[in-house]
Amino acid sequence: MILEALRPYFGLFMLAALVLLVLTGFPVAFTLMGTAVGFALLGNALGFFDSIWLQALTTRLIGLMNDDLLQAIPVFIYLGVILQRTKLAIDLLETIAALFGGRAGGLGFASIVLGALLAPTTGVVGATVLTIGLLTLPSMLNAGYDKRFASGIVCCAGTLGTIVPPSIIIILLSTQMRYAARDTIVPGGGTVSVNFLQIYLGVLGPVLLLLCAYLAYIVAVAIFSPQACPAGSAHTSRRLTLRHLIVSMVMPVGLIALMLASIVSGKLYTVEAAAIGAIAITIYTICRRELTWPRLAETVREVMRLSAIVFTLMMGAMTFTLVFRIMGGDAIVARWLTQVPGSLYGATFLVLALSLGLCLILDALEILLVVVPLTMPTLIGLGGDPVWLAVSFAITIQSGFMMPPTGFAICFLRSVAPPTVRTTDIYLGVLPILAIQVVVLALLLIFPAVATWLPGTVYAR
Amino acid sequence: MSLPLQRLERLADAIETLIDWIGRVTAWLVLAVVFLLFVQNPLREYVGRGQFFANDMGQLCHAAVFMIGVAYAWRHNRQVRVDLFYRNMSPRRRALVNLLGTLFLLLPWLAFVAWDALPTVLHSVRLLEQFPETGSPGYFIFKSVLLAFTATMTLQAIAVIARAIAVLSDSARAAK
Repeated sequence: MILEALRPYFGLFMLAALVLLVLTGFPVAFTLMGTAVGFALLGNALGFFDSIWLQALTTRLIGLMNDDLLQAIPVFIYLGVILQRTKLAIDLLETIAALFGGRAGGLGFASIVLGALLAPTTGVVGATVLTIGLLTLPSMLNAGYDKRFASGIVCCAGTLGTIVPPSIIIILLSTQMRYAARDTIVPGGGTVSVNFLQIYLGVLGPVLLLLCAYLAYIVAVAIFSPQACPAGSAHTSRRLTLRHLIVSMVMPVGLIALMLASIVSGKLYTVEAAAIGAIAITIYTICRRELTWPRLAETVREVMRLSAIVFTLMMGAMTFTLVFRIMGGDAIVARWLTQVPGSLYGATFLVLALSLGLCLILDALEILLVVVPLTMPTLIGLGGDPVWLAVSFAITIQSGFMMPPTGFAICFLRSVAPPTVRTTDIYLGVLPILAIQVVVLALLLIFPAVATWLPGTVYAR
Repeated sequence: MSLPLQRLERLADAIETLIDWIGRVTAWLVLAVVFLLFVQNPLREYVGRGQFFANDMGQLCHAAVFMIGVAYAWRHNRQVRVDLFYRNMSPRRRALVNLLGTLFLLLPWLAFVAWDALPTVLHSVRLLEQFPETGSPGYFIFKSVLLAFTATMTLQAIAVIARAIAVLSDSARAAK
């Protein structure tokens, strides 16, 4: 009797169990798998759930192995690891710094630009988000930057990688949104679909807006309190030779040109463009004798570990959402979300707020892989544009990284920053950046066209 | 440390050496994934054939990299944890988390996958199944990757359990 009454809430118990078990510190992916199987067995014993459903697992695993869009993940990770292991990224920073370093705020400017240029190759897991920060913080502090100002810059330059396409987060988000759109039940019939390119184009507008806002913030600080970001000394603004400039700019500019060419021509897939870039960088670094045999061996191993981490999480989330759905958990989520006052906007706001909160304990990938499949079908069903939802979600997650006290960017910055930078300096430093995030996010929520205009125009043709 | 505990440690060492070795060899397939993706555009646009074969082989290498990488990443303790509490735990506590988690969370899932995948894979191998859409040979190897995955994961799970037991019983002895 009591069991029957509890039955509709089984999915919620599952969610609660997951939260508790994850907090023990056992790997998140395995916890997702185990919670799902445990509840499937429990449900089976109580007669709620037929464990025959778990047989869908093999099919889904083979489907995961077969998804050729996901080949992009090892390739992008490879690009990122090569950049970390060689001097390419440092060269690039020095070049950009030499371009802007002579002025107040120049180094901050350079850090943001570097973050945006290198973005397609970072943003895998929390740790890589701040590779850029590792490069830029010491040079800013050496130049006499205000510690708070520098910390804020590092956080936003480091997290840009999660939202500038084609970051790995955006690729996975597109994949998950595609599935979510497929699973959507549209009231009154019909179907919704969304593809990788639409989301990719959709995120461009808001990203440009964010970039401009960051740069405007730096310019404002440079004008009103130039002592916070002094012009580079002779040490930082090394004389820039033309050769140096050409050599170190060719790589990122070439890569971006390739990506753009792939979209415009329609004959080259983005993944293939990335592979061309990867081969070019490999040959280039081998010729410069930076990529030695042992370093290449260590690179491929690191690529394998990082890709595996991403895919383990996908397997875990896949198992969890499979069982959760069959248990009727998604129906409860859908019912709750449709009852939120304010309909679509209220529900979207709730989901975004929840994701933001989750950023304090989880990494972007985990949030993405659990929250999107559980909530997005309902939000799309309420009439939300998939592109708009995806872009708002991406920017929310990026902001979440910078949330005090335990956002990932803050934690990683804390672990690499010298002790002279106090933790409160970091907290205060990100506040202006968070303000920018809130403004851009608000703009996006009020005027969805910021995100939907570009893909709409391209696809209207 | 007593003899049985030393044996456990040695077992864990042996398994981890094996996983490391498998991982190091498989990791080179990353270059194959990149290369096979790289050649697809010229094959498609200029040669006009071979692109499907290249795509299928790329998919195979990609799958092998991440499926075998799961155990390899775990062996290097790189699987993502929420370390809010974990980071302040004693070695004994951590061993307990890893022991119970592996036994009751990971292994049941793994058993399900292995039990369910085995007939599918064996069937595929017996038929020497081809890639369904393109007819390239070797789809049975692709499916066998699932078995390699369960095998390496089971081994690594044994290593983790062995180490956890060693830590737990060693500290229990020390406490006496």
